[in-house]
Amino acid sequence: MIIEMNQNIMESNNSRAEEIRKILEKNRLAMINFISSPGSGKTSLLEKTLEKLTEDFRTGLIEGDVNTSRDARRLERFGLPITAVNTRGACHLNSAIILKALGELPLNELDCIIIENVGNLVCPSEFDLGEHAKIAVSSVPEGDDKPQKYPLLFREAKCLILNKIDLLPHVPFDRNIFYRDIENLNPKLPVIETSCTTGEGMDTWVEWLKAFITAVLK
Amino acid sequence: MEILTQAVEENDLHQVHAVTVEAGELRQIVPESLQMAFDALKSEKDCCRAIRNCHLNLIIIPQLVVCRDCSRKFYPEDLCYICPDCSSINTEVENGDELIIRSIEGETD
Repeated sequence: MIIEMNQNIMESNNSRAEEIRKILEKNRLAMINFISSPGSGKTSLLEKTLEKLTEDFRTGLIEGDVNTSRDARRLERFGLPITAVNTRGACHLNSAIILKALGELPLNELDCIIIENVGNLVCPSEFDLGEHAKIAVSSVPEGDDKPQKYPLLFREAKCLILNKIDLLPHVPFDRNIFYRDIENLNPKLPVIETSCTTGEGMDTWVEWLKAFITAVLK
Repeated sequence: MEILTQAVEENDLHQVHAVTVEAGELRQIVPESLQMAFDALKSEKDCCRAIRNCHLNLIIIPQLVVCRDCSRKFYPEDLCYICPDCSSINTEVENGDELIIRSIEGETD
């Protein structure tokens, strides 16, 4: 006999994501999820971002790392509440991990939570973590073909950061191709160019983020 | 596997012959990898007995994008999500991002 199932395979993840959304709403919290490939400069970008973001918002961090807590230690100097999640080899964070991590943060003393996902352009985009925005970080040395290769992330993201633009003169990265593909894939996606080395674009980016968080908290 | 095991229990199945999974193109599922993972799970010690010989049918669902302005439905050639008719950017993926167990085929005692 044939049994109709029509059951979403991601259901157990999605139902926990729903639970997370309720927790965020109850505690008046914005949650932002950073996704990129390894080495795109996510942690450096967060360091620069936190310097300014924490002026306006009480921020907590969830740091995903496959095997160490090195990134979490880099961010410790800010003295913010931080939960380091070691995924023990898994290539992404899921909603069960986030739900547990939220339990370890002083939610009623925070305005926003920043998640640094595991460096990977594929799996993290698949998982709804209950966040308000996925932020995609792509960097110049990775090449201009990332949007074509990993369309889901660029479809899901609310903002795209093109990092390490100080390296543009030194590597073959065709801006036209990159922007054409983004325009096709997700024409509404704002793109902000940054360099953590020169500080270029950081003000624009932090301004965007602050405005987004303010809108969520309204 | 969790969903299958639950279905086995709920329907009193003694054997599941096949499971049909529908995966949207946007999910970028590699059929060989999914098959390998499925086979690996089937051979786990604690795998439900009724599933051990289950066959996996994978159906890849092509993307279908709908334009919210002119209602045109189209396939996003070269990953272009702009409406080919009215050039609107107000488009939405209707099919192509699903990941569901559509049905199972099994036998009761």
